[in-house]
Amino acid sequence: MSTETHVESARAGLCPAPADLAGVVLSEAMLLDQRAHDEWLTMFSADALYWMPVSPDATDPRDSLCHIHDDVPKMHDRVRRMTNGAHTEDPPARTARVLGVPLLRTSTDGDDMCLWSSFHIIVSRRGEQHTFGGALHHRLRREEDRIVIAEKCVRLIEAEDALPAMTVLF
Amino acid sequence: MSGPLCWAAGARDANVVGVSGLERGLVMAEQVRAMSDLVREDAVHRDIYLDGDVFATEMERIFMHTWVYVGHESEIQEPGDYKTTTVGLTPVIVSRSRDGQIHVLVNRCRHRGATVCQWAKGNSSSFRCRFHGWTYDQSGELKGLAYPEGYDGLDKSKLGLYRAPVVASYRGLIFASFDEDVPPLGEHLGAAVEFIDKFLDHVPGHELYAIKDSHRLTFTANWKTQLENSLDGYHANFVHSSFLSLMQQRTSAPTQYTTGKWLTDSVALGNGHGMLDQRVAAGPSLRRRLDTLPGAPESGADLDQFFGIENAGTLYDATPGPGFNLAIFPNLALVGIHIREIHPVSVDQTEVVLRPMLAKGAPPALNNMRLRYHELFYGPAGFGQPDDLEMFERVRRGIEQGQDPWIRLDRGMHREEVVSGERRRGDITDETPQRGQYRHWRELMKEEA
Repeated sequence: MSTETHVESARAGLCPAPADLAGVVLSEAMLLDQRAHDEWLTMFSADALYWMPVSPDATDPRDSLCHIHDDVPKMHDRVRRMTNGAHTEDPPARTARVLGVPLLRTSTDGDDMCLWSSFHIIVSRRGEQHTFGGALHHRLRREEDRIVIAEKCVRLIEAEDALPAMTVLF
Repeated sequence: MSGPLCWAAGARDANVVGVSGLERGLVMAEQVRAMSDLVREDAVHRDIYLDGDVFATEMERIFMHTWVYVGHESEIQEPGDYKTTTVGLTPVIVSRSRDGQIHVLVNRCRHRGATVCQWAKGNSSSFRCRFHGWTYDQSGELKGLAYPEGYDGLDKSKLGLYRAPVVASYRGLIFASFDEDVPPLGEHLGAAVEFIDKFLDHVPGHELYAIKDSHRLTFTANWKTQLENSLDGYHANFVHSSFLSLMQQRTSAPTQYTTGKWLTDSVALGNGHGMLDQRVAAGPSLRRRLDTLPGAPESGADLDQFFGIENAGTLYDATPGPGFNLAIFPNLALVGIHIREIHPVSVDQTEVVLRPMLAKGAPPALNNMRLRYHELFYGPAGFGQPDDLEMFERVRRGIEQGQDPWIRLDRGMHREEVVSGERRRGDITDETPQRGQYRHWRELMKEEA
């Protein structure tokens, strides 16, 4: 379950991801900015993990303190809370994110495909803006006639620093 | 001391004269004459959250003259281990020297004032100022400096890093004070010791240690809003309604925090400390929340088999913590399973650090569930704490201007019971602990005779 792509360098074999894989990552970002949360949830496999560790050195999500550590039921809870009662979403936050070109790790073991992309998010709420940046690691899997997200790890560059309330999805 | 007060008494009141004079008749009649008068038994004046001079005076009279929590011994277990933190606004290094002693050193070179340590945590045999090369050992002694012939007889023994003159631990919790005449730590902690013990003993047969990673949060409001909120039993049903409703759906059990009937207590313990008792009201529902955590054993699973030890159920049942919140004035709270440090940054900016405690020698899978339990509610992306931060900021927006400079703290005054001395108890929704915090604040903020 551990994502080790964060230690990969360009030399380890990364290339721009083919359009079908990059499209998953980029359209996921679009759904989040459009607040299409229910559709976003359908992009994940039933055993998916969505996590954001505190430490940049974290490799195993299980024994790492995380900001986000969600299985699919908890992802549903996160969306339900966000759209139904979180005071930090009253009024709601708007987001705009820019992703770098998703890169595919070519040395992947097994059938899953690991992608790396950098991101920059602007969160705007009640006249105030906050920015977050970092890298996304996606582990994608072909499942029947579609590609699903089996794991998404958000490496926030300020994850160890003092952070404001983060109810938005990354 | 920062000299005579330049703070203009009643200045804020003067701004709003005539806006709602009737309502404020009482207020205007008893003009605030000293900073300690900003706190009444039943209300506090908004200047305690907004006024820069009040903040500066707090940093001096409170944070320089009482015991301030700086860390847990397990964070600096090995010789050479250190962490950086603050005492009020003063940056400090909490360091363990080779002889095992703990030192609280001001992170400021004795030459030109640069910080000598740049990291939140680490291990080092020395602290070297990179500005001009002055080097200090783990106990703060000046060991060397570049080109000493440029000084006419420098006494290195007098040029160690400034240090907190008194440092003391209670069961691993390290406190420091810059006032040598502060009462002994045990006296300061007083009645809170009973609950510190219960917190640190809540996993049967296992010592607790603080992990090195932490959740750090920042919000635009005064530090005391977080101190008050750590003992606020009135807010949970409302601020955390989205969380409680999720838990109700996931566990198919009512999880209302309180019904408004006096089931369980909020307690003022003296010296500004307090305790919020959720053991009766919320206890059983906390245990059920474990079933919702990622990677948790299914409800009814064989826990001994799952965790690979005998009597795993006893340890697993302790995962939600002891079931009460404890706040130690002015900057420490023990909540859930975490140690909470409150760091004032400016009058309207605060940082909070949360460090979950794990059970030494327990199976990793069990400690992992402790992390999952903590993450469920706490941290900047948890399902609870963001809504608290939102309320702190809403209060700041609400009180900044306008008619009424006083903020009520009178809930439950009519039914508050004086147990003994400074100890008082109220219903969990009462503002008994906050009134206790402000009685102590008022004492510390009084001008010296």
